Amino acid sequence: MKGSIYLKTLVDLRGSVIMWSLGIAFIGAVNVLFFPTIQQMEGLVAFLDSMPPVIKAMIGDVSAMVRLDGFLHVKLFDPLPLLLAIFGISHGASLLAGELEHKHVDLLLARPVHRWRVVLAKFLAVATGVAIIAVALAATVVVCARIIGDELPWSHLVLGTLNALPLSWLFTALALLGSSLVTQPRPAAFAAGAVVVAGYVLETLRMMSPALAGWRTVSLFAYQKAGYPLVGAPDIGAVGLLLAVTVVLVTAACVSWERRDLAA
Amino acid sequence: MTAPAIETRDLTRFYGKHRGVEALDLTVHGGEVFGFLGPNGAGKSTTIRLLLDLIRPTRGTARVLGLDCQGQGLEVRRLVGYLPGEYRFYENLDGRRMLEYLGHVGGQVDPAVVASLAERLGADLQRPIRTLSHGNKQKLAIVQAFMHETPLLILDEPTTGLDPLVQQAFFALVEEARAAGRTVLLSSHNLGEVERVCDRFASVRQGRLVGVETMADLRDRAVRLVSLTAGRPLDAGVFAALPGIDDLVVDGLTLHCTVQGPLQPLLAAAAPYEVVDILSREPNLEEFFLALYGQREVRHEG
Repeated sequence: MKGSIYLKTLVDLRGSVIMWSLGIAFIGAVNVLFFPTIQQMEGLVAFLDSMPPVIKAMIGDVSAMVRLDGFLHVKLFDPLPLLLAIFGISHGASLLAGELEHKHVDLLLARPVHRWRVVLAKFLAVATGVAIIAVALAATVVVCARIIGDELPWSHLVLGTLNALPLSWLFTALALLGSSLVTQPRPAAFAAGAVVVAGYVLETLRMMSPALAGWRTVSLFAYQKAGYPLVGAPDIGAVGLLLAVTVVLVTAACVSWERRDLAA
Repeated sequence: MTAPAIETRDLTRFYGKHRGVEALDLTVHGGEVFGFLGPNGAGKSTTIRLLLDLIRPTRGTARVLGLDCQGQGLEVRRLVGYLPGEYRFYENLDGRRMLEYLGHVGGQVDPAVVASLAERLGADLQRPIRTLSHGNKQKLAIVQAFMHETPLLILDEPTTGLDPLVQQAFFALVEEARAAGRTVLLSSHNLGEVERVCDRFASVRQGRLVGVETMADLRDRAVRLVSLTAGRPLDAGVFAALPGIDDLVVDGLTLHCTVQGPLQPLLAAAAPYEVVDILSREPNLEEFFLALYGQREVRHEG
């Protein structure tokens, strides 16, 4: 950990990462282990097929619900970015404002280190934490799938896990940018949380109303849902765009923190 | 010609309408221990944070060892060991890990130097920081300021919370730094502390520079507050005529005054009145400012 802001931040996060990993792994295990029961439900596909178009649109391929990959896509991997965003925002918001709030900032920034390096190292640590939680879910799914005698193609599982990350990282970066502008973590977390909620509501309304179809380009969740990597192919363009926005937000946070006057 | 260790010109920082520091012209020469004296809220910490580019000036410039504090902040910080006046460590670490972390952020540190400093100050490196008292945390803060052996040390209220023995060890470190040709800027609101270790000092009050003095000047002009009780009624006229006596109040058998310079003339004049008791003390900081500078607020350094 000697002098590594990245490792120091990651070590500080370890308790939270472990708890989140256990929590998400538990949810994953419950879903996979109960899947045989779901699969045996007679008339499930017919029931889902009778749902309103908007629900069907949210589910995607209804017939896939009786397969493990389709079921996990709907139940786990589709909402996964939202869960990971909660972790990313809660920690991303305190990365810089927390240093100010806890009065660590003078000791740290009086060192011969560029402020942007501090920002980048801290972001990468939280982004790593997000990835570890996602990997914990994927590992749990593998183990539990074997227990129920089913299995998922490795490539699909890896892609499904990776597909959840860019949007979570984007929201983490958004919280980080907020954190670089304020003196306390809470406003940064609220602002980023508000964007997540607004984005989720927009995406839900967009799927319910054909009149809002044109809003797709501004709906962040639409880009995450563009590909169905657990059951199909990822949308490289959409993933690339989410990553590009993340890079822009982290860069903005670096610039903001570099220029920031650290008056308490 | 070697650049001054610290040089500020018209350095000004306002927090909204509140003045942090204004029009500060200050020169600290290389190799000196320079006191930065003023009451709490006088602008000492603001000035120091400006030097380290933690905050930005409203106007004016600051240079450290010839480097512009704003434009070359990284290079400046490489040359400065800093003890903040207000800080908090990462409480989940123990002292050793904390110093390792701070020591290697953007630089290297010799573990032998850290061990030696810790031993001299009696700093406990094994215990989690959250379990340490304020004084023990302050020891760690001093270690982290000295451990890089930088040419300039900026120490903001360094002896806060230290017991007298540790203070002695700290002053020895400052003396050694001076002997090694390093420069020390020591911010304090404690006149005795500045008097003990500094070559020169600047006084600041309400964000403005009041004056810059050498310690020799200060000693020449040393002011003491004296209260004297005699066995016979005192004659005010006798004492008013003495050199260096000011603020004289005589009330029957008691006398109060300030004395600038030696006490001998006062004692000689009081002897015939059968002195029963005499109390002499250093002025506190506000009394010191009033005695030394009167109501004059600003004096730019010459």
